[in-house]
Amino acid sequence: MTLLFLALPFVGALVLFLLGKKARFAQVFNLVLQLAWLALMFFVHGQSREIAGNGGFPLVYSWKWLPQLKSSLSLGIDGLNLPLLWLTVILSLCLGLYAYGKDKLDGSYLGLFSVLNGATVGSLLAADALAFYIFWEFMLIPMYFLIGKWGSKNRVYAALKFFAMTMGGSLLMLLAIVALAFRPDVSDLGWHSLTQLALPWDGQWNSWQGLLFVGFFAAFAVKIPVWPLHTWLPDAHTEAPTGGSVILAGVLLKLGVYGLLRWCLPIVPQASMAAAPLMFALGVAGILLGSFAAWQQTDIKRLIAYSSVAHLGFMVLGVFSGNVEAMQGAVFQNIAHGLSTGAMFLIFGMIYDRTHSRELDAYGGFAKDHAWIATLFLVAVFASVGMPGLPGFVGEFLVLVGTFAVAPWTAVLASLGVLLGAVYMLTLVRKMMFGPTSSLVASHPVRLGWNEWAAILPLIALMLYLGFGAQTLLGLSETDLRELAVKLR
Amino acid sequence: MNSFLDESVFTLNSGEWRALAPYLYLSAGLALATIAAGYRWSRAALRVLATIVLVPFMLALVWDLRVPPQFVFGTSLEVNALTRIAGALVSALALLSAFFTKSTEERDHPEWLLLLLTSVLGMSLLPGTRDWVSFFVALETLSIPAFILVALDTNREKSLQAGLKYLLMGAFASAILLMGIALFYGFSGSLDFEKTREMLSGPSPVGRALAVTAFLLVSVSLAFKVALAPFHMWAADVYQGSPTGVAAFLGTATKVSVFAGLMVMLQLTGAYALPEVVKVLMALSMISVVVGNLVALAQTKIRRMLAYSGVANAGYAGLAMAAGPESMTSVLVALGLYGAALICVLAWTESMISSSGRASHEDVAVSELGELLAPRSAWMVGSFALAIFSIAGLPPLPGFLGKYLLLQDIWRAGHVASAAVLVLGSLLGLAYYLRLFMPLFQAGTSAKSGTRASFGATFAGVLSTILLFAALLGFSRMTQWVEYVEGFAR
Amino acid sequence: MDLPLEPLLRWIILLPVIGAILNGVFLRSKNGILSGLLGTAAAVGAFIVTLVVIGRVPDSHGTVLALDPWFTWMKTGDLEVAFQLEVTPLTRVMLLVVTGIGSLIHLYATGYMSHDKSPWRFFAYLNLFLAAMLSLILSSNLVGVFLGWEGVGLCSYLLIGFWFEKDENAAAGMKAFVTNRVGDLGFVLALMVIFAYTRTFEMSKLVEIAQAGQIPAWVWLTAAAGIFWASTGKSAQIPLYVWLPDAMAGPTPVSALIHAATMVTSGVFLITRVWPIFAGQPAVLDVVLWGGLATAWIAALTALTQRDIKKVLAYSTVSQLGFMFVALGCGSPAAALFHVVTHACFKALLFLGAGSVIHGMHEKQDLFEMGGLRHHMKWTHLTFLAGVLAIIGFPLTSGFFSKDMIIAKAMIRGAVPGMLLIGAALVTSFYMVRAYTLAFWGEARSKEAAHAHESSPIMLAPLVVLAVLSIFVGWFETPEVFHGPTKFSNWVLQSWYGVSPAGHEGHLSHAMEWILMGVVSALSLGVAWYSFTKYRVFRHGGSKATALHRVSENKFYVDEIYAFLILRPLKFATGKVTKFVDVYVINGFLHALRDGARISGQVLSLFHTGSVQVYGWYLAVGTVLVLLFVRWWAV
Repeated sequence: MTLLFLALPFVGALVLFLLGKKARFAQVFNLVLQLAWLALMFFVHGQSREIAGNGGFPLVYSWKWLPQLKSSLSLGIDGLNLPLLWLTVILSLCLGLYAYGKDKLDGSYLGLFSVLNGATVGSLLAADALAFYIFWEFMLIPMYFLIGKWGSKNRVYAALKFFAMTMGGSLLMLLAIVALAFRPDVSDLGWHSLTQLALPWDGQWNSWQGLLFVGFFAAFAVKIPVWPLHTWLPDAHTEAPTGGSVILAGVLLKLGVYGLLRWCLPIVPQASMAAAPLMFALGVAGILLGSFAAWQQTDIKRLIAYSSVAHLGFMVLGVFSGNVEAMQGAVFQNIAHGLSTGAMFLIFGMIYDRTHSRELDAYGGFAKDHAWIATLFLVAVFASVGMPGLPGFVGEFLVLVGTFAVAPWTAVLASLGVLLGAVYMLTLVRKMMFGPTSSLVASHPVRLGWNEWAAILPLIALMLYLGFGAQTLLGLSETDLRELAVKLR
Repeated sequence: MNSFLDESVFTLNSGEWRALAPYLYLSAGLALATIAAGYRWSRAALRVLATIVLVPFMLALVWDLRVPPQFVFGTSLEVNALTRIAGALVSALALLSAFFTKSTEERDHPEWLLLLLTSVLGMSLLPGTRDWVSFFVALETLSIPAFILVALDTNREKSLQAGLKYLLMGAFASAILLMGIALFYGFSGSLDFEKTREMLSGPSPVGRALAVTAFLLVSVSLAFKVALAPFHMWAADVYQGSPTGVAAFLGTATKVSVFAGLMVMLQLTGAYALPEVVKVLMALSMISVVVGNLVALAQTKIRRMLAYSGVANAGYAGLAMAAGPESMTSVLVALGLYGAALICVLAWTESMISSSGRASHEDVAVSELGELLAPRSAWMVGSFALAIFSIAGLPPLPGFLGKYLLLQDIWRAGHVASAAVLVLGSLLGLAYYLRLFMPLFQAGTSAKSGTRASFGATFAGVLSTILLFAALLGFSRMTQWVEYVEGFAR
Repeated sequence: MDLPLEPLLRWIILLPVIGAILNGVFLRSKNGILSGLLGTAAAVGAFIVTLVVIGRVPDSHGTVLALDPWFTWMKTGDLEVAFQLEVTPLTRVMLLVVTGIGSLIHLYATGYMSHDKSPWRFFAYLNLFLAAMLSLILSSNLVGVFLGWEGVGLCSYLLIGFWFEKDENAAAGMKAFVTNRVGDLGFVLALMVIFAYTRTFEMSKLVEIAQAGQIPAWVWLTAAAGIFWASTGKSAQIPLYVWLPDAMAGPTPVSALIHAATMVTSGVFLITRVWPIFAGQPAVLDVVLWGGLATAWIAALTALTQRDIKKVLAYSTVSQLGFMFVALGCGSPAAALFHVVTHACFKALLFLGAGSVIHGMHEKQDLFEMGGLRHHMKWTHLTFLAGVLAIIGFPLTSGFFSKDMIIAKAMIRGAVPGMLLIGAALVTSFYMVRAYTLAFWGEARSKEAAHAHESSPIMLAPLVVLAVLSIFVGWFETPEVFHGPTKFSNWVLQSWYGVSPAGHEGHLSHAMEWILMGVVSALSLGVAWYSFTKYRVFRHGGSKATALHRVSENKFYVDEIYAFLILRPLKFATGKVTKFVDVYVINGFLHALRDGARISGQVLSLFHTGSVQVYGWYLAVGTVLVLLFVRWWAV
């Protein structure tokens, strides 16, 4: 069942490529594909309900595809990747709905999207280092084309920068995986055998643990992005088409954090904890400098992109503080940020489709005659600002509380991020939504079709539910993170 | 050990006949091609003949790999699993490139098939040679037809120029090879690989420096043949000048056969024991990875860029070769996959050029790629992209598995520096492979319907894409298949 | 002892939420009365449920009168946060105040906002605010309080910027939210410190652990300082009070409900609720005391010269909050709580009265253009007068009792704070009476004032109720001398989960109390009479504005100083830093890599000249190099 769930997007992509220029037909097929995928997701969830919640990383499928390379395509489901699977499926359904009726988004666009979904789900499910690496890299190709072909002005620069930086990082991970494959005590590259490796740790960085950590962390640091490696994010987000930005913010960034929790921390626990102080510094730098940069932006999408840098700084803190609360906070913030930033990009994408301008100063008084769109945008903004009652708060609160126990001053500096978040987000809302109606807004009324409403509402509903219903997610990943915390101590 | 001259060497017993049967079949095919050239058969007829000759030859070779190795002509030639597989791989690549080998004239020179088959014969025998004479003979039968093939398009000045350049450089390299062989004879008193190994395996063999120099001269000459770094200068001009099919054939089949031959020679003569030789090979490969990728970055013409990417890929294989004899499998697999992908790219370029009404040997600039690719169907663009990404070595595509195998063997030998260079090279390579698609992003969707795409090129493109994915799916069985080779190397 | 489970509690919050959803999502009717009544119904519903719950509670119970473990919000590792509601004697009082006065203000707003374009949005936000405030009061753990804390901040942002077409209103809303957020950093710090050392947020457990004392003292110091910093943000104390005067940009009922009665008092409420933490921190209490005094004085001085009636009331609120913090500083949460209740009544009354005046004067708020309104707006005038009497501490009014109690506590604490507080009280009575006389006495100074019309009965009814309240609510807590009821003191003592903090409740001798009461009320009436006579004959543009007058009128240039010292340099510096780091350092490095590769590629490609002779040369040189290479290096 899980294999079918993984294979469906790829098969769907082939058909979508076939449909090619016939946009409307492809969009309808894509909707059917996404619905089928959602149904499959229910089955997968049902099937893994009892095994997901209680720790370990239970394998649901395994095929020895490359015995000489000690690798087999083994898929597993547990509390860490189940929520992210749900997020991917829901976001891609929303984007399918959004794409309906837009002629520019033809068969090849949707096909590439479907391939991207398949690769993302593949790397989430993968319980084998090589399989994970293959899907991890595979995500780059469709994303490159999505940004390159359907992006806006200097999309080519953004696409190449995105590809090169991510590829640079992941090649180091490839070296780490090859090195692992050649240790005598590694029978196969499966997650279980790798995490049972008790690699000695004596504080040296050129020991096995040290180098493996550098290898794994490099790939995830570019993807998250951790502060100094983040400059591809604003370009990629700004130049990507709406669908690209949503899926990039909603899911691709999350894989960096997921990768840390799945592959980096369990395999090289002591090295990760030794690197924690540096990570705290980078995390805090990401939060503060990300927020300050967001405060300066005049391009709306760039502003939201820098806000992602700030939020992900929180997750880096959460992951590396090593206690259950902080890691739960990071995992929850993963979903919350995916929803809130995804919703913001989606809503602004719809506005952008009508007004074709990303300049903040050109907007004004949007809320006057677009009450509903403004309200939904505000819900997303306040979720991202960490307003209690919306999911953003639960994530950030857990991270701050968890990190304080380990590194008080880091947590105090990080809590500044909560304030700065309010500053730049509300500046965006004030300039865009309130004040006198600008000529651009007056001359381009934004009337959403049924499919666009249907695209936003699930995200907003999820956000409203998760604000208080946080326990559904926290319960899922509790045992897995407890085991990880024990290992990290 | 019978000396070279007594006649018993040439009386073949039944085992030897059976071992030689495929090669004799090929020679018969070759003769038939000569007659066909005489009667000036049409291009299509020649391609059918090529299929009739090469397909059975391949099947015969790989029909039963468990057949024990068989020495022929005394000890000068050994037909074992490695020779068979290398021969099959070479003929497959040759067949693929034969489909779109043509010169611009109407009635082009039908003798290209004859030359192709001779070269295939030389290539398939090279890995089987066990002494320097047969090694040299195989190498020359391999390269002399190639010189002429490059100059096939007689009425195009660029093709002739390329052919002459290739000839001169080839002659120069053969001279160095002969010099090396002479030194070997001086050193070990015989031309046999075994003899050199015995002489070398002594505690402090006399004239060790002499042997090392000999090995270096031979490696330099072979490095020229596969266009490893300092000796790769000819590659770009020959690729650009020669007809597309020939460029494909030279770029892929030569590399497979020469690398296989070189590794067998190094293994049998015990060269792996000499650190100097291994270091030189590693150095040459590293330089070619760096130079190949960097210069490719600066290219604007597609075929020239592919030439330098060929140099880089030769470098990757060279790094694995220097890692030791066990990496024979990964070298063969990697070069095979690279070959299939390169042929696919060149086939599609050829079919694009012909469909756009341009002269077939015009080297397309990267910027013009946009209008060429735009009108084509999504399938064709898709398979072109996949082939490019396979050469770049991006995962889920076969190229990545090839590169992963190389990396695995380099790591097994502990050459961390080479692993780093390989990874750096593939990152650098990424830049110019991705640049190929940028014009595609800018190009508007001008559906300019070109003339009918040439059947041969499209057929070759489709076939090679299928071959690529067959390799991907059957990867695990393919590596077992080549395991026989491993058995040999150890 | 069995916990008094009371599932009805959750309806106190749910009713306003349902009201907000009905108004905001489903109804959205342009008809002001309909949406107004729906909103009021929700508020009154909450009030009724409160009465029912309080009615059912047997009096002789411990601290927790009613408990409703609603649902588990966050449970991970050893952090467990339940969304649990409880009623203690302290919260019972606040519940009554918030729901009671809230309902009155909702009723008043129905009339006030009936002509507005989108009344449904106003009442949705107002109900949401009520729900947030109630969850702040009812929650049994600090995270629930923080939820309410930020919730009221959000609603005040939405309500201040209600008429968002004008940029100033939106800017005022944002200023309020950001300033509150600056305060909330303190709250987050407190939460982090508390959890790190006590591993719990439940106030009942916290209070016990604080008393037990095995936690290092600096933890409670940081927690107390953090909570105090948050309270300065929320309850508009120095230095974070700058947002309250600008918050007058919102509709008047908003000012009445949020910026007089409920939200601004949440800071005082929270400190009272976790008083045992503060009791043991004399350092923090001193800061609270002197902070309160400074705020009282600066706000009172600023109010002296304000022209806008709502600005006068805003600064008066800040000043009265200063009084409450002085009470806390003197170690008497009972006095602070009592003043919170009385202030809620009479300040709400004054704000609603001002609203009625503004409504009558067709949205004119300038005192200098009013005058003689007592002829046209009889009921508003009488109720406003009742409010003024209460605030200046006219004997036997509620203000008299609560302010006198605080002054008594201040005198116990020390002569200087006592005297300063009395001074502030006198200034208060001066500016209140000034505002009153400018508005209602003298001749009409503009045509709107001449034709002002009385507000509709739906607006006057709440005024009357509040007037009655602000006169008689004082009897709940009478000084010992009167030997009357001292409800607030024992309510407060009961609500610390059985812990009685060390606090030194000193006593004044009876004689001292009588003198105190007599002197203070006499002085304040004298000042009131002087201000009344001065402003009865007020001529527009009369006396020349002195320097002090101008400074006070421009609110001591506080906003300009903040902008100059903090905002502008911060924005400029961070702009430069981030631009430099992101564009030059990181991107610069990446572009250098890219250009390096490209240039070296071009340089290398120069070697490929294309002439065979050169290639031959390379081949030869290459071979020689290889041989030499081997000779030196490899051997």
